[in-house]
Amino acid sequence: MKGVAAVVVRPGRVATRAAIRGERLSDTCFALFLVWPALAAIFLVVVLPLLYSLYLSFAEVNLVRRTVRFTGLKNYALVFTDEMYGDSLGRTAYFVAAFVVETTLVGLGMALVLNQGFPGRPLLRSLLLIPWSLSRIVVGVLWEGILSSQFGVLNGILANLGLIDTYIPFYKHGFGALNALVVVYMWNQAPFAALLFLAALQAIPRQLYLAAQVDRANAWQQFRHITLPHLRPALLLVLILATVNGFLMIDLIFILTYGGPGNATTTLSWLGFQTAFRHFKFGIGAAILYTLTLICLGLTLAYIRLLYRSDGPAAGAV
Amino acid sequence: MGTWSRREFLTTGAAAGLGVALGPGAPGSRAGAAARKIKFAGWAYNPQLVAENAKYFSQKYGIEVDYGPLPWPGYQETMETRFFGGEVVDVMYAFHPYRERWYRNGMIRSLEGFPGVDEYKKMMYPANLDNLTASDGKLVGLPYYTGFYILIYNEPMLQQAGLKPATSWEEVLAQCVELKRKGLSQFPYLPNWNRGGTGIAQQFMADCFSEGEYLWDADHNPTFEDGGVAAQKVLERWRDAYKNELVPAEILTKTSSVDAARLMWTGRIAYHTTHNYYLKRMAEPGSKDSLLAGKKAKMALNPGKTGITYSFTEQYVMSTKAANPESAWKLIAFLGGKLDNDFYVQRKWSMIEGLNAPYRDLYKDPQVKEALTQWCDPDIMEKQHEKSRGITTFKAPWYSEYDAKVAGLLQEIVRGDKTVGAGLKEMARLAKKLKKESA
Repeated sequence: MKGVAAVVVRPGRVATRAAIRGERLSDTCFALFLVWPALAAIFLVVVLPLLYSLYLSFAEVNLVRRTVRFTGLKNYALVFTDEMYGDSLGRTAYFVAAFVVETTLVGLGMALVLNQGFPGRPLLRSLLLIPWSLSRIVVGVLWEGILSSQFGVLNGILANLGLIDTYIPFYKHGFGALNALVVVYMWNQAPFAALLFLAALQAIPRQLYLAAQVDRANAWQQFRHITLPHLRPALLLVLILATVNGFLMIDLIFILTYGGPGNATTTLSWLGFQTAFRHFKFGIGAAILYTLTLICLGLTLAYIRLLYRSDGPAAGAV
Repeated sequence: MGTWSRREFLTTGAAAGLGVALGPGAPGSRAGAAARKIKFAGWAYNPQLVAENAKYFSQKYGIEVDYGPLPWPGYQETMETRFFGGEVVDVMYAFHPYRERWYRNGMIRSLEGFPGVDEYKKMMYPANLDNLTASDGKLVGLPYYTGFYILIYNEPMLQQAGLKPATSWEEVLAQCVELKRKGLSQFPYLPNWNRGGTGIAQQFMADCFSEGEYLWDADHNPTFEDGGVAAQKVLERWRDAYKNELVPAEILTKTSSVDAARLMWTGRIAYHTTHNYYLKRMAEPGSKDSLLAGKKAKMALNPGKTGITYSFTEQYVMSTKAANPESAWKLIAFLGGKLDNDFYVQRKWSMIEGLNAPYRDLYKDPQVKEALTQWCDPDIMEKQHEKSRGITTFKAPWYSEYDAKVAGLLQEIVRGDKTVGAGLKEMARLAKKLKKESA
């Protein structure tokens, strides 16, 4: 067919290449005409604030006097020489790593269980979404009531079972408080990961497992060689979402620890929020939060490279 | 239902748009409305009562008040952003650590020159008047309420142990050790060490003042760098209390004073230091929240060498852009003063919420006295109010940032992450750094 100048574009109508180009151009213009309000809205509410906040990270801002003075890299220099930033970065790294691992494993575990057939499965699938659908403020208040060392439900149960003599102060040690935040956030987010994994699990052809059973593959081998490769797109999505959510989480800190005890649960997002909105240093706050954005971006690219370095059933699916 | 042609739709839409533009919101009609209407905003604490007061004011004085409560978290930021956006809020609440920032940046104005200002100054306690005065000596606010730190004790628990209320901080700790040893309380002592804006930093001042340590000199330089008069002593006492597990560790992650007070409601704690107004909900008869209702929680005078405590005053302030300053002043005088010779709003806050007014006369008001008697000893309350003072350093432009940052540092000292000496030096270094940056 190479070199043929006439193509059928509509039944009963023959058009030249030039005509096709003209029609395509017209289609493109028409499409742009239809989507420009959406593009304009995205530009106004996403791109413009992003660019403006990026600019603020290079500026000194006085909100009340309405002055914004460009200061170059000064804010970033201040951020990187601040001891608190380094400490918060370390805590953030631990928090995100623990949260991503826990969310992924627990979400996957829940999905594997819910992928099996058993009585009450539809009900359980619905219940699964409740923690995820709760507002995080509600989650925080709920867990405050569970973990309190004075009137907490968990301590009450443990004491009634005779497992403890005195109530456990879960937030007493900074590391314990950080881990408590990881667990609470995982409880809130793992159901969504489970939902993504469950959708991916249900898309795996049953014949693959039947064939593997014929080949006498055991359960682990089936999981390793069939399930896991097919879960790659979902896994990538879960990893990216968990990482970004982990870096950005401040609402539970706000409700449960306020960055304490001491500064033991002060993560970068909390530090950035406090700097911008409590100390009114918007430029430095923006600089802190942009370093967070860059870290998130770097990790996302690393996940993509790691999971898609070789061709697999799901390569290129995202 | 009939269908609209495109032309009908466009012409109707245009007509509606024009109507909105030329209606009551149009620029031409705004000036007239502004003279009759006062826009008033504050953080949401009993907003129903505030709305009732505003309505009463409107009916009595014929000035319409458009009241809008805002959530406490983010109140400062919201007000600044609204100001930045050009919105005029004529009268608003100001949280004292941010008040000077608002004044210096031209967001709020002085109240000097309005009728009755000099009389109000004479009626107030000096500490409160100082709180309401800017660094240039001008009055910039009238009081919403004043708060001061007090010592509260759990009377039934002390009686059970055969103890009388302590009269020194050393005795407080000694009694707590005994109560813990006897198994009457796992954590008998609850200083208000929460991380929020009205927690550990203010508690530190209250305890220091009680020992004669006032922390700052007249030029806002820290005087506690090398231990000060009593700063070191206070922090060492705190550390001992924490180390010996007399204090529930949970207090260090509480986000507000009300969260801290809730721990006291359980009846499991012997001593609590916090703002005076939390005593009402804790001790008033019929309080459903507290196991110490019916005056089982009582107030003692602050122990220490001086017995002085830390006080602060939240306030009503006026925007520099207020369209009708006379009407705005009238509203401020109604809310925070004695308009027409009546402390109408100040009295109501005292009686209904236990928020003290900084006016001496109100302690003598029979209605207020009777209300106070329901949950405290009014004489002790008045005596402690007399023995309270604020700091002038909160008027320095850098202080709000210091105040927020020092909470984490103080908690680190208490937990033993830092030595007392090193911690105090770091606090002083922080103050000096912020002062230098803002110069």
